[in-house]
Amino acid sequence: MNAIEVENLTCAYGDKTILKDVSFSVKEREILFIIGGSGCGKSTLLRCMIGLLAPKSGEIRYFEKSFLNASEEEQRHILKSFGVLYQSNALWSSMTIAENIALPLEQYTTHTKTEIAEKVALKLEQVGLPGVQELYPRELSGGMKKRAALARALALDPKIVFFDEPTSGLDPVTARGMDDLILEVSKTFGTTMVIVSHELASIFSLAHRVILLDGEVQGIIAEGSPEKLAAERNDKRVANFFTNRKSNINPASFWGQCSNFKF
Amino acid sequence: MTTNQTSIAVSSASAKAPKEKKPLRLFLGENVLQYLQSSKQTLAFIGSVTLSTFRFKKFRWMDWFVQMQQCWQSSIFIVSLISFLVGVILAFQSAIQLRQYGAGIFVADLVGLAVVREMGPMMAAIVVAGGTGAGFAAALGNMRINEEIDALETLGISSIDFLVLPRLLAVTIMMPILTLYANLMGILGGLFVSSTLLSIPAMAYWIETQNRVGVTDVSIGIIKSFFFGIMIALTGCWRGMQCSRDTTGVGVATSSAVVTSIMLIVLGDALFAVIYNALGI
Ligand SMILES: Nc1ncnc2c1ncn2[C@@H]1O[C@H](COP(=O)(O)OP(=O)(O)OP(=O)(O)O)[C@@H](O)[C@H]1O
Ligand SMILES: [Mg+2]
Repeated sequence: MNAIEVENLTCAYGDKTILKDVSFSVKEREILFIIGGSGCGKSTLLRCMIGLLAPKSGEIRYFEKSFLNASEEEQRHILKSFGVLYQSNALWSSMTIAENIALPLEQYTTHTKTEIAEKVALKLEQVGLPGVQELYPRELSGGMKKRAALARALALDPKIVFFDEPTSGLDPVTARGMDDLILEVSKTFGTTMVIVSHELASIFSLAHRVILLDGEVQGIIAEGSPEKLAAERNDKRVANFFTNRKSNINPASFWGQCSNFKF
Repeated sequence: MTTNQTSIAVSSASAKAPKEKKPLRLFLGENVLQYLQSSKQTLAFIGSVTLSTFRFKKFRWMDWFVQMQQCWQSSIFIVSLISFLVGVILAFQSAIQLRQYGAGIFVADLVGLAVVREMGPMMAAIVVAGGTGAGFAAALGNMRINEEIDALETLGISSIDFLVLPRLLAVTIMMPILTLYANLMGILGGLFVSSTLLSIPAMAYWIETQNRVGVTDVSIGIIKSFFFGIMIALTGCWRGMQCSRDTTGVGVATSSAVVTSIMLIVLGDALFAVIYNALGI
């Protein structure tokens, strides 16, 4: 069964169209990576999929139920099966970590206080962050915040988790730790995952399938397993993404390009 | 290297320069449309706050309490100082005139009425707008940028129930209290000047004030301050929620919250003056 089906989705901010007629689907238990250059609309696509941005047209279905045309009750039910890890963590800064993780539980379950506290401890244990319940988000390091945010995203045992750049701003070691964590969650719970990321290392170690967005086309230009995309030679844009990345940040060539600017 | 950097800056600036000049009617039309659009959004915000007030769900008592505390803490000292000085200034100005007629004692009437009906509520409101209102805009703006508000919405929790309502109620309750306090400080300012400059006994000044300033006068100010509180909290929260995601977002939100609330306070005050005048109180 398809966990997610996106059909001819068009997303826009006001008059500014970002994505046009995007269609793809995600199978249950699949880990899908959405990649593409900065500003091509990856976060925008995610915002559409989790209902933060109303699309101009198109349809999104979760487990074969329409999300956009759902009644309020159905929509609540679908929202409950989501977990989202935001690009900037989005931990509520005025609440402790325990309160952060407890809020989804209070909102959607009828657990008692002690049950919730147990569940919070369990989730923190799962992400390798035991005993931070009483700390505030500002008292955690970047990597710890990501983990805490993941614990919150997993609080309701979601069927689908969305990640917006889960490893951005982390050092390579911590980033690989995050990857391992994602893989473990996926294996243990069979969670479907949609991950926006730039990191080749994450893509190769996690992705079942990758879709590549492009800002000019305003849509998907390539789709397939990471190995297939990496072997692609004909399409320059795809090859660029997978092979040419190092030379893009080569300082010599950067300053070389800069000197080409004319007054 | 520096020349390279400047060349980048110059070239990117010149790339933007050749902007097509719009005809005036287009410019005006677009601005009017934009204005209507933003008024619609503002009205929608006020509408959903009203609905949320009647629904009264998910109210965070702790947050409400903390906001009241912060409002008190950040305003009380400045409110005291400013109101006292306003009382002093009013007394000074009137004393110079009234002394010529040997009517020095009427300074008490003048200062008392002016402070209780106008200056107390106004000064308290302006201080709260600059402190607490701006703080709301900054806090909610940061939450917007940090995607905290998005995280609430995807959980199906209304950010208005959760964030705006506690702040709104906190300020609406604190404003009348701070106003009462500002009134007292203003009257004390007047008392200070007239007992030193005009050598009117403090007791006489106090009794004169009591005789002249009635419960109606005080209530008029308090009712106003209640509305000022609503305006300040709504403006601060709304500007914060509207905050754009770029680096200047929070700064713009904060300063526009202060400017808008002060404008609304003064406009509101004028409106109240007209209404009270029509009612003859
Ligand atoms: N609130 C908004 N209003 C108008 N335009 C926006 C808004 N948010 C983003 N955009 C524009 O939409 C485009 C896509 O933005 P988006 O955040 O989806 O990019 P992204 O692919 O996630 O990039 P990054 O990798 O840098 O996070 C950008 O050109 C951006 O300028
Ligand atoms: Mg993004």
